[in-house]
Amino acid sequence: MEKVYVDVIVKYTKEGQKLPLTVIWKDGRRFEVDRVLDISRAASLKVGGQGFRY
Amino acid sequence: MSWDANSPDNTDNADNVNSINIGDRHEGTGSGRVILHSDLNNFYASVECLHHPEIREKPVAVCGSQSTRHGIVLAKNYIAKKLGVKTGEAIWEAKLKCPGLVVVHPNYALYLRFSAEARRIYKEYTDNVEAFGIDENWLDVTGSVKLFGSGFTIACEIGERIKKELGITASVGISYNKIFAKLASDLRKPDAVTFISEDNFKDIVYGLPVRDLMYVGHSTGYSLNRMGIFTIGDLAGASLKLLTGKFGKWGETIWMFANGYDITPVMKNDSEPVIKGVGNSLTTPRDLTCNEDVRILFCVLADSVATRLRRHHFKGRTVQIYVRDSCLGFIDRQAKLGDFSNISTEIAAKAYDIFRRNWDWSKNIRSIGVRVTDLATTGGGFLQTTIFNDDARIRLEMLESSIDRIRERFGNYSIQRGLLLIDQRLNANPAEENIIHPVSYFR
Repeated sequence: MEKVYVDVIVKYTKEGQKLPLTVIWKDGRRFEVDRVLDISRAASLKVGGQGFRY
Repeated sequence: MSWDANSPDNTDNADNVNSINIGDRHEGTGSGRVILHSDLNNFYASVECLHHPEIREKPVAVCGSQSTRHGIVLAKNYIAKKLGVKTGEAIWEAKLKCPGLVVVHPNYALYLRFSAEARRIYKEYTDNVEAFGIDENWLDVTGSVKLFGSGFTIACEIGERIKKELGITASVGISYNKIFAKLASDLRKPDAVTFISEDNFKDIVYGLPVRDLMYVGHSTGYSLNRMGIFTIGDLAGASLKLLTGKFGKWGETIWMFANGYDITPVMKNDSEPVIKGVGNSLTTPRDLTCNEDVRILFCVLADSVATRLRRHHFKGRTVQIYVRDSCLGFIDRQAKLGDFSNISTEIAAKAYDIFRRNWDWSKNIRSIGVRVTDLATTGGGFLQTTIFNDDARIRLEMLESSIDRIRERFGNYSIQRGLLLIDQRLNANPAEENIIHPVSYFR
């Protein structure tokens, strides 16, 4: 497993939430986010990193 | 799930956390306080290993730069520790013990972010959070137990959240005062919760070596040993008169610590500590060998100190210098300025003057420091000024404030004194580059 940095189209709500709408893969393909199930602070042990997990 | 080969298996169930429950009661006893001390395990190394899974199963040490003569071990992971690598030793010494050692350079911005994230977690349980360096904090949760559960429950929850949200581990100590809470967190590492109560502290603490006590360092420990005091229990039972006779007020302080009488409060996170002095020091990339080298360094350090004084709205009247030679001996001296000042040129000139009067160049210099104390505020306070024409000083103050603004916008190196062109290797930005020290317990 490797860490990949991608562009994300994000919606900023009036309440201050950040919601991902679309993930743009490195080859240009776009993946729409159907539903955000969970937003939590977490560390990624598999690829290394810390922040918000969606 | 545990990725650290040296830590025990961890689960999300607080009951299974690697912990010692000593005594039947987990909450504050007699004195009523419930104090936690949280210590992030092998902090720098843990953060680096989190971000680089490929080195996790190897011995890792975070080390300063050898080229700028900061090449010592700042932190190591448990694998390196087992192979004998020690914090503070030189890289070459560490590699002799551990030829496969992975050396990583520090990323202070990242560590500061993790430190802030840990404090964010602590502040969800109490606003009485006091930092002691970048990776240790005291928490007074006395007023929080009715909301969140016992001190033990809070400590376990904090430990689990740090693991889940930050991907590193912490040792948390619980007791009724700050000293014992810190001793408790030191007892078991990594990833553990340890409780010392008023009922059982003698059993746990009194057998420990006296140097384990906070602020009993090498020199005090040696002196205590020579008096026949080898354990914290020996110190607690020693004559207070004997200790104060030998160590003065300090003797009383460490006696109080050993007996569990420390009552110092955990400072609220929104209270500013009283600043008694502002200083910077540097270990230079090469030894300083002549007065001109020293002038350059004082210029660099005084610039940084003056900027920080202005930022905090202070002026100071006493300049202290600290000089360490190439054999690691050192002197510190001080003298008063004619007037309160936060002007870099005045501070540098006074520092240099003190230096010229106290250094005979029998040895070259390895590191040097400048500190301004005897502070007074410039905003709203009253400062005794001179009755003589002060226009020149006022213009200097305005000039240096302008330099501050340029540096804020364009960086520290965007505008520099011409003197620094003589040897650019001696140039530095001490206020922002690798200066992280534990703050004093005594504020």
